[in-house]
Amino acid sequence: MKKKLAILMSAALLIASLAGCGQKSGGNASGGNAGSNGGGAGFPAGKNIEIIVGFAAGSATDLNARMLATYLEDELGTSVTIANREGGGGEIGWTALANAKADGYTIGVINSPAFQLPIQNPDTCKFTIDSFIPLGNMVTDPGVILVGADSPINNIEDLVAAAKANPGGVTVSVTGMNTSEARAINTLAKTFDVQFQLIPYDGSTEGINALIGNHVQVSCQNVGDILPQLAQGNVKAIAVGSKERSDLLPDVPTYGEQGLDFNQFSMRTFCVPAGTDPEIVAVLEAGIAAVMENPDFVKQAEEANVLLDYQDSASMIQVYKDLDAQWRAEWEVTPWA
Amino acid sequence: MLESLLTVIQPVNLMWIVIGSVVGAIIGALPGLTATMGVALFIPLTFAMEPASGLILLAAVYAAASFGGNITAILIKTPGTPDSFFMVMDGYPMTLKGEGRKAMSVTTITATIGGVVGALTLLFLAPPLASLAIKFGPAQTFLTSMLGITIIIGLSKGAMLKGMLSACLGFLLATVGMDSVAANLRFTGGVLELYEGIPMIPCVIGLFCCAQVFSLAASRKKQIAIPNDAVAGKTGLTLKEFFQHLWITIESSIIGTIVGIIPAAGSMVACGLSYSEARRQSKNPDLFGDGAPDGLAAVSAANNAVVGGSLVPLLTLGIPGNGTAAVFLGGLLIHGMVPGPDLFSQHAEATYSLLFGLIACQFVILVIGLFGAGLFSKVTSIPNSVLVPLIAVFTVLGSFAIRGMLFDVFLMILFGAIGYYAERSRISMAPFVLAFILGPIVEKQFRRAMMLMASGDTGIFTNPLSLFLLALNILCLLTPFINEIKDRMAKKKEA
Amino acid sequence: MKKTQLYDFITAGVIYAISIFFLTGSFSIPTPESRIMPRVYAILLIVCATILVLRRLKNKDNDSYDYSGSHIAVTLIAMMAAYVAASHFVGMYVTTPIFLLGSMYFLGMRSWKVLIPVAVGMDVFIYLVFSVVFKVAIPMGVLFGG
Repeated sequence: MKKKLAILMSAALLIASLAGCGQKSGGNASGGNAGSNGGGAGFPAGKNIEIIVGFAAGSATDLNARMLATYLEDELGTSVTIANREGGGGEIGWTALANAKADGYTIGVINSPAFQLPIQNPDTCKFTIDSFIPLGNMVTDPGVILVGADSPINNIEDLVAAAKANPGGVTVSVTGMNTSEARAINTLAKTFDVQFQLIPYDGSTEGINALIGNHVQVSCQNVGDILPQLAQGNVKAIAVGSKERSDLLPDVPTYGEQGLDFNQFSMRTFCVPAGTDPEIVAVLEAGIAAVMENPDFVKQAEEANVLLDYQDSASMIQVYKDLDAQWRAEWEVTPWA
Repeated sequence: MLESLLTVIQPVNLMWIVIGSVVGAIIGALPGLTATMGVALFIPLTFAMEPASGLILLAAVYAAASFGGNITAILIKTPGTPDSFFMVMDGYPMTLKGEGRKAMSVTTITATIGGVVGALTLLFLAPPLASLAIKFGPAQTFLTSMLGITIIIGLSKGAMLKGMLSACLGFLLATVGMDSVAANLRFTGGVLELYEGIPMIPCVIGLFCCAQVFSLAASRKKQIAIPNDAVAGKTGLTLKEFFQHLWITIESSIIGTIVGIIPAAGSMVACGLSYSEARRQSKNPDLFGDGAPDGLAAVSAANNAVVGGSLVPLLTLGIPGNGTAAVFLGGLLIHGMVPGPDLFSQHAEATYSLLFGLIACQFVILVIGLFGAGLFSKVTSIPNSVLVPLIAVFTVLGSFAIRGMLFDVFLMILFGAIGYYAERSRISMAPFVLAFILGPIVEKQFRRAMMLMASGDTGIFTNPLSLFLLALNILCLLTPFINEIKDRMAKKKEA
Repeated sequence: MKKTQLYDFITAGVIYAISIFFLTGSFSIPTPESRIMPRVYAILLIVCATILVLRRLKNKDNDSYDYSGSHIAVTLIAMMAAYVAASHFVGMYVTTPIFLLGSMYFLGMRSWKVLIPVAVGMDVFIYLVFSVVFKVAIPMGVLFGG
């Protein structure tokens, strides 16, 4: 009995020392090489910072967050990990963020305008615009409508024709019923007076795979999600949601060009829960700003086709207000579920 | 490919394989720490490592943790991970009979075989099998997850009513929280901690490990069992016995691998199917549930085979086959390795190192299990007065470690009390756990399938794959009835 | 025999209570489709519980249950609950050894040569594994600013 305890203890000590070595040489651990932002208000003091992502591992939001996390670790001098809380089109993750302890150790990625949609319905939504303090925007990813590689549909006109011929029979995979993708498809339906059947999935990967596996006929996602599959030729992009054609997809016409007056994009902004100490907010904001200016980071983002679009806290607060007003106006006219 | 093989054999990587396997096994064994957690905790450590080394380490942790849970499940009836609770069914009775060391050997050898089969399949057959994974749309995934439920109800020996009761309760409790399709909050009563549902790990730890703590205490036994050291040889398993179990092991490995490939099915369904098959083919099916080595062999092999299987859709399509694979995905992405054909072309070296590493760590597991068997099984001779409090502390720590909330620990104790009561009332909590874990997937996929049908896609339940799965489900549900009829006919013949 | 019958009724009663709770709760769910499954499960549960009761009443069930020793289990449950509650205030490093000593003694271990090393060793183990290796926060106790 005692012998076993001894073995167990020495094993634990061995593991501890090995892990300890691994940490230090990895250069990711606490203290030591803190960036100039690590001092501040004694924050983050070597404690782990967690980033909540409302979508599954592998989705565009998740990949963006992981990339930033790696660089943020060096800026703040502490470990930064990702927690995936997918489901409900991101709502589960944002709710988790809104309710997290406002001590700066829990950050989250807020997707707009996605998160402004459920907010319009205070009965079901557990957070408001004021539940979050933006730290900085990282990415603005335009929307894109996809079909399978062998699909007879090649543009929005074809899509509308297919929907007219088969009312409610054209299935579209999206990452949630209350997301900007869903709104894009619904607006498309309204504009051309047709009907689609939306099928919500838990993440872009699942939704795109459903398209490839022929379980749905169309998919609405963001450009960042689809690039690997597009390169492989498994899917076709028929329209892109930005105001102008995307550099990454020069041959794909925009929504606007095809008669759909809708700007679909996904902004990925890092936020903390409201009530976080302004000094801590400043440290985090500065950290993120520094990462966005880091030439290695910019290069890595370019190679990964991540569309960086830094906007600081103040401008994001304004963006949120504007988007909220815009969606509120829409809600008054045609409320969604 | 040869380069990758050489990479794996490098001393640095061999060291990682050993460390990963040992730590992974310990993590798996401790109730409350799961394979998912283990992989998640190791990912940050791999940041600074070469991609190949990092992935090898993660693979070793994943495989070993899946195995580690077997140890505590068999010896002290406290499954270290939810996937291991199938091992309890026949492993623990063996321990009670004093055959603990034999049980450890059986589980180790069969798990290794299962793991190797899974890893080899991954290595050679990944691309063609991936196309299988993609055929599973909502209807098929729904039917596959239902399979887990129908199997376990079918396995409820002579207690179908209680089995159904248990399963329905599991389904019902799984609806607490935000629903995945419409993002509605259900039954949370405003309790913040329940927004994401009743946390799964505290629930499972409570129902099995904590309940066992209470059971052992109430039993007033001095210790769990005295290992019967008279059993043959160092490993407690004779060569002849090994060959007797070989066929079941291989069959279960294949089942485990295939089920692992199917997204969302996971270890539960794999173990359930293999166990069911093993019993069907056995010459003494009544022994199952009371210490049948075949039963243990079947689930051990299947459980480890799932590891390799789950990596097939992960590496080729980016679809994780289960929760741990999802976290593993994160580990891949950290190193900029995006699933898809890129992995096998641009990052081929690292990917193949991962695959070879997965095979290599199975052998480390083999060594740990076989040489440790004697040592591990001595755990059962630790006096209960010491063992019980220790396990209790581990369950508390484990349930706290997940979300850092004491709420979860209280929940765990509550489920422990429920589990104790259920055990005494002869209500099996196995259907409950399966229903609780698979419930959200079942509902989600069913609702999506309904939406697809509403759109006019009526063929989803009538295509060949769906029909096959439907037939499997019905077969599993009817098994106890079929067996009963067989018994009656046999009795009539004798009369 | 009478006593064990009682337990089946208790079980059924609890199941009824849970089912009714969920059924009434289901009305406050906004989206209609999200109400369906919980209701289905709750109704199935009521059916199962009713069959259970009927079987007992007809004495068809020959199951006899053994609840002996439960007083020990209940005491242990209370001890664990107290342990966790106390951890919130004074931290786990303080409450764990106390719990270990208390429960080991309660369960019959009297040898101090075992009691002390286990209680102390566990604290060390927790510190090494959870705080050093895995960096998972252990409750330090509200009273100590944790």
